[in-house]
Amino acid sequence: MDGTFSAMLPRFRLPALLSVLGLIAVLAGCARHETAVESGTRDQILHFGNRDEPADLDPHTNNSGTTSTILSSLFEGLVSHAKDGETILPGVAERWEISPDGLTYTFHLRADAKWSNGDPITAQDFRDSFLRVLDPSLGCEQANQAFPIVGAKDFLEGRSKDPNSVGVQAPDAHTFITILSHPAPYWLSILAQNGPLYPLNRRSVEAAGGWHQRGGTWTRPGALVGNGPFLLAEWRPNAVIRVVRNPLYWDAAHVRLHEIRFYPMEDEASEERAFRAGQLHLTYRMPQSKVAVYEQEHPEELQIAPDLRTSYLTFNVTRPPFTDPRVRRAFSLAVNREQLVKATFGKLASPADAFVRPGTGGYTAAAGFPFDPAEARRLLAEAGFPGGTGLPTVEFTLNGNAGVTLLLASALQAMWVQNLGVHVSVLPCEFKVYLSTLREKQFMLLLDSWGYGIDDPRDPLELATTGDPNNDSAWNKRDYDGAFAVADATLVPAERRAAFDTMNALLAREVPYAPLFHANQGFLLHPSVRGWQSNRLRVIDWRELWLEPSK
Amino acid sequence: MLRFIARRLLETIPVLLIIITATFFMIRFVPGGPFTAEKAVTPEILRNLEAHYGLNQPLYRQYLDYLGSLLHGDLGPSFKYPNRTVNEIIGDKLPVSLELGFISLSVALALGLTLGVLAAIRRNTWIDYVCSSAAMIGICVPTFVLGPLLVLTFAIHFGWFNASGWYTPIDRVLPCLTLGCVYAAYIARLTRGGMLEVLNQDYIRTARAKGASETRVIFRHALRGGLLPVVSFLGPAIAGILTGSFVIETIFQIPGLGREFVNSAFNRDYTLVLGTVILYATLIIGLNLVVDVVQVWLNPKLKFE
Repeated sequence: MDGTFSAMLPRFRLPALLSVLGLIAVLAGCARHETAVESGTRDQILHFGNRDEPADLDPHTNNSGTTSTILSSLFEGLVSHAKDGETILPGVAERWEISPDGLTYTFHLRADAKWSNGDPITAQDFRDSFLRVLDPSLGCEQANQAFPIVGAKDFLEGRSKDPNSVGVQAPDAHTFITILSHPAPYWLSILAQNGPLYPLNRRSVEAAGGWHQRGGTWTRPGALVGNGPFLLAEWRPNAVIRVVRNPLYWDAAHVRLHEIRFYPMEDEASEERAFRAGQLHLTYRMPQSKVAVYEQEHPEELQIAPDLRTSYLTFNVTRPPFTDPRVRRAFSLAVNREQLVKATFGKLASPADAFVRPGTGGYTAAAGFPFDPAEARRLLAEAGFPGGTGLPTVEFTLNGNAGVTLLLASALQAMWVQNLGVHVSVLPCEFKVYLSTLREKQFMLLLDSWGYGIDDPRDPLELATTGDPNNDSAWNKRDYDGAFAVADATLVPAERRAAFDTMNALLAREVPYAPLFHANQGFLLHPSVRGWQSNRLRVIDWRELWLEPSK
Repeated sequence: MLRFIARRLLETIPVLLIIITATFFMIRFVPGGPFTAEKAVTPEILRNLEAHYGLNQPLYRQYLDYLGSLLHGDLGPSFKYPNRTVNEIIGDKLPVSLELGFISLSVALALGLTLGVLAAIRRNTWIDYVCSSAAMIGICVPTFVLGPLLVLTFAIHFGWFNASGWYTPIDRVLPCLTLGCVYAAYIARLTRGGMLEVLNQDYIRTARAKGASETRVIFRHALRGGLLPVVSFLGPAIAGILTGSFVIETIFQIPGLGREFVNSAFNRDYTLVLGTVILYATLIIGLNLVVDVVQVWLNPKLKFE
């Protein structure tokens, strides 16, 4: 070998070295190592696939469901949901009284409730926090959750500057009172859900920015002061959020998990592979194509449960041809929902015959959206478009161009051509473009969906009330608004149900929205996770969970 | 050479300014904003949010403010992640992307150069066919197929690695191999082509005639010229390996900047879009300059002008 060749060597040394190192690493790894799930199960560390990276961990500015799950481990409200997602359990409030008119709720806070920095939790903390949510300068996107409180809307919208005009009172350190403007039978559910009404420790927030300021650094590990069963230990953006048991939590004795690690998993296929490789105890969702595989091979790992999300068509009632309710009904009657679900989501959806998912808040609406092509054709002809002639091309706007969305759209397209003879052109839009299209009412027909904030029919039904910011159809009906107000104001369950019936009947007759299906949660759960109960709200009572190797 | 570099660096300033201006206005004219969310908020809340971030100011004012803070090296707060600044996000994520990029690049060079040189010096033998076919397959198989295939085999079937994540050194193997293989394929083809062209040159024949050993001919004389196409490919490729690893970062859940870059556009996170664009523009300009310098050094026919 001559000298010049060895002089050339340094140029190749680095890659050569790295490939050798790589080889060693491969060989060193050539033993099936203990998986995270195996070691986690032994050490009570739950590995939790949680879809999205949280934007922040401030409950008052959060608007994401997956972040709510993390927040529910760090904070606790006045009351909380049991693992069935329905029963209301005491939280920081150990008991409460409701006045006979249903307007005044008096909460008695437990004396041993503490913040994770050792401060006692007082009624003043709750009052300050509720007012923070309603403060116009914070810009809380879910502030409407607090609207049942007297004066809340006026305060948020700047018509009143006086905090005392808002119906939240703290007569002493352990008594907190909310005064509502109308009896809202769902008020405790709002307080219990992982929503914006958690208390915050004012001292910790003010130490890292203003009390009314978004984006303070108090939500970082070490600075975040919570009152939930767990404490924030680590937050590596886009990698992991680690929470550990909070010894100061009033019910710490019942918390069995030592640690939870939340992993943002943007891609559902990657999440499923991570589950299969033993990195996750549970996933947030799963690819539809894998449902049949798991049913066959690992039915014990597959979880399918109803979700509080409904997918529907939105008709722009201000633009022809959908100004005519007959055309809207015809489009709805021409859809075979059973077939549609079978061809697209399979078990991850249930065909919808009403706008509200059956059983929501204990209420089931009468079926009002059947499949009847003959009636559909008759109505279309009656509206002046026999066999679809004379009907302008309908533009069907979609949210995104994911495979299943396009599949759904083309199935609908085919049903409308076949049953009505009308041609529909599909227009997939990027998410934010889609949102601005619908907010500006620049569409004819949309494929949309709504996730319910609370387990109560009023939540989805509010979408059709006049002037609601999410009423994309722009439909307005005085009778409907009247029934909605009655449902909110009455304390008599039968009256409330009757009001819901009225609203549902109006929706079925006028069809501003045509429900297609209700979504189901489909996810994977390792058998070592004990005490799990899937529920519609996706709430978790962390005290109920523990890990134990499956036999 | 110093004058050449200085001149090129000066030219960078107007180029960057144009890129910043174009990006600033283009992202603003896209429908939807940072606060357009699935659940619509009342107009009052939206107004308050916009006021908080100064989005209620006239656009030219926001532009000048942005340039002003940019001069101080401040890329502003992120809209999507309110408790983080863009500087922080880049500082956090760039090292991850750099690590992914440089290991992958080393894999790519080691594999690609070896295959390419082997194929060229054993032209039209089975070695050449095997190397060339491997390269062709590498070019044809996209990362979103290769990545999951490697995961299925080595993470799920054999259980040697994690299927995703970026926690321990062993987690680097699969993503870097996936990304490296694709670039290795290109490098192998370019090396083979470059080498073949050079091996037919007169000066190689001269070297052989003067009795130089084959090793000396290949490594001392041929490789220097044969690498030229690879070097010009590497400039944009390095930038690409750092910016374009969105797919790899998503498949393997790697907390890198490639994902932030793509997602910031979807989130209309104006400041993060601008921050990443500025960073990548600088990177591409810088790497092209390096490539130009290296090329002159490798090819005596070129001069700095």
